[in-house]
Amino acid sequence: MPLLEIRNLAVEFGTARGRFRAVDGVDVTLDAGEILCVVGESGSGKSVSMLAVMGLIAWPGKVSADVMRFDGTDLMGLSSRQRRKLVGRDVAMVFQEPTTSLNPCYPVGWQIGEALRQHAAVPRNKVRDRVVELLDQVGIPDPASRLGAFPHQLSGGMNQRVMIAMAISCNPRLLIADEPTTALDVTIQKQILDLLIDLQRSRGMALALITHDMGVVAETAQRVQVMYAGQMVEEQPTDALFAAPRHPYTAALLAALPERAMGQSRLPTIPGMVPGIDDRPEGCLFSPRCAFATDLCRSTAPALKGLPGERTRCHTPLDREGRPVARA
Amino acid sequence: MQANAVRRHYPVGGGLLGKRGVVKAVDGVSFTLARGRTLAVVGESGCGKSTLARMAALLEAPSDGALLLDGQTTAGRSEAERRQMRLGVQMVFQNPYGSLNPRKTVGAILDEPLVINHRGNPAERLAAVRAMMDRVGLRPDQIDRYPHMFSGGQRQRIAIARALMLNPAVVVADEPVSALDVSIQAQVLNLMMDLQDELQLAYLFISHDLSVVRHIAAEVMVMYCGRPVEHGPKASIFATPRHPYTQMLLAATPSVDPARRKQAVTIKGELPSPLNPPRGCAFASRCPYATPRCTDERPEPRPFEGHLVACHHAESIAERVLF
Repeated sequence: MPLLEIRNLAVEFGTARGRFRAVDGVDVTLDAGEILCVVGESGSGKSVSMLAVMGLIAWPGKVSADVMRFDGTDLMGLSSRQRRKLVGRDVAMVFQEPTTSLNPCYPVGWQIGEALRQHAAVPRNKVRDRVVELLDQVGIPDPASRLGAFPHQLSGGMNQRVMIAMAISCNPRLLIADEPTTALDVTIQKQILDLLIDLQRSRGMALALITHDMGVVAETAQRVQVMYAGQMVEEQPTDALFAAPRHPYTAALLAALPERAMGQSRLPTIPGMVPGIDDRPEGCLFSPRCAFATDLCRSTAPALKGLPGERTRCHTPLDREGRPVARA
Repeated sequence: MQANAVRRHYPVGGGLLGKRGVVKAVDGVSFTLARGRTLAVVGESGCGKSTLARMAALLEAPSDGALLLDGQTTAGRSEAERRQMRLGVQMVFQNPYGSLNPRKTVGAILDEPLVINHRGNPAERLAAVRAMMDRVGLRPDQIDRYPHMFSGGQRQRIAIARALMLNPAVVVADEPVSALDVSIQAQVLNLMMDLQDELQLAYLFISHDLSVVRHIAAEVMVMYCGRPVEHGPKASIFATPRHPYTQMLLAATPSVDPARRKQAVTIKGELPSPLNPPRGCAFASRCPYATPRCTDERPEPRPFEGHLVACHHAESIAERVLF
């Protein structure tokens, strides 16, 4: 049984111009000890889908799913009291901007201890020792002296370590990290990613990493899901995805990376832009920008096809040479 | 544009009981930027690259050292003369959401530099604005739209168009694509390179993203704690980095290409405080090659294999590459 199983997740927001589907038809399966990367450009719904798993979508957002199970527990049917028992203990999350996600009014030691006290993970008189131990695990030098430090006294990298310490305080089985390194410098980013992978390996956690950085994906993930305009368009093991992307969007996105365009003076681009709230096209959402779009693509939305772990939402997915295959 | 050992120091503190200090944001940077060339300045946050950009754009005067534009010094000029010189250097900022006035239409934004500098009559200015919109890939019929009606990439095009309205010789671009998605980033980089070819612009390109720098730059300068640590032609900086910090930056940048990936790199430490910089080499506390000499004596940039490298041990490091 997978640790996290989601089928046909949708998140809708009521707007003045009617309902807007920010996330549509997302399937996620994640096993214990696995690293999954969710990648997409801004507005592709990658954060919203993971917030939905955490139950952090507030009104007027509406979450629906055919199946949303964590370790056999149906997340959709949980009362908020039951959910609070799960979230923070078995499922934890690290957010993008460490300096703004921490509470500026409390010392970091207290903030980490809050999770431990809330979930009664350790006896009250042991909380302090446990916090010191956690700070040490995430690589903060001289942890005992940092307990009283406020977030503004620590650097961005240190604050992100505090966030991670907080997230792993109750030994979660699933850690969701939403762009954990985007606000950090590359050398610090490398340190944080190494730390996350070390923790993931040593604790056998499942790690869902949301990012827009293809380099980060290539270096950390075992499996990748690519999101576009709220839909999952492709899922593949990491090496296969970078070697032979099957969805034209993934292929175009990889081609646009400066790193891949060595020696070319011009970068290949994707014409047009991501459809907004009121110009979603008929049929495939990528069809107006797709180099291989046919009449079928423009009229009928493709379904997600393939086996879990290797799926594509495309009528004519690309073969190894990057040409669309003839439709069966 | 030429910079000779420019420095910018800020006094800080000095409150009721506080101690006065000096932050050496930029401490001795020299470069020469020719027409049609791109010099990229890379480094982590706090290394002084944005302060350097502000000085290059003549928004701030160097505390020490000389900045020359077209062979003429910028120091000791009257306000009127400086304003005249500033026309030759324009700036593109990082965040296109914050750098455009939300209450002005695109037309007004692009018209403003012309109005301020008394260029042409209204009909000529309108024609110039339309021509520039066309040149940067915006539809001239969208001239009456406001910035919020454009996407991030289009806004950055507006910001670039605004910088080019006065035909500058130098464009200082401070992280121009950092806030953009990959597919949009590619469009803006292409536009910048096309414009450089057409108009023979010189770019001072500030960035922290090495893959972008690798694509657009001709020369690269790596900064650390306000000082240049390595400076040289792009190809050799990326192929044979000689300063341990450059090596560390390259190793830390995640790569989509498995062949270029460096495994088993451990990076330790963080940047030292600019208020209290170490006496010797600023990088010594994080450097795997550091010796007592490094903590005592500050290395000055010196020529080595066609680069300028500020490291005591460049020769021995060249032989054994750790990263």
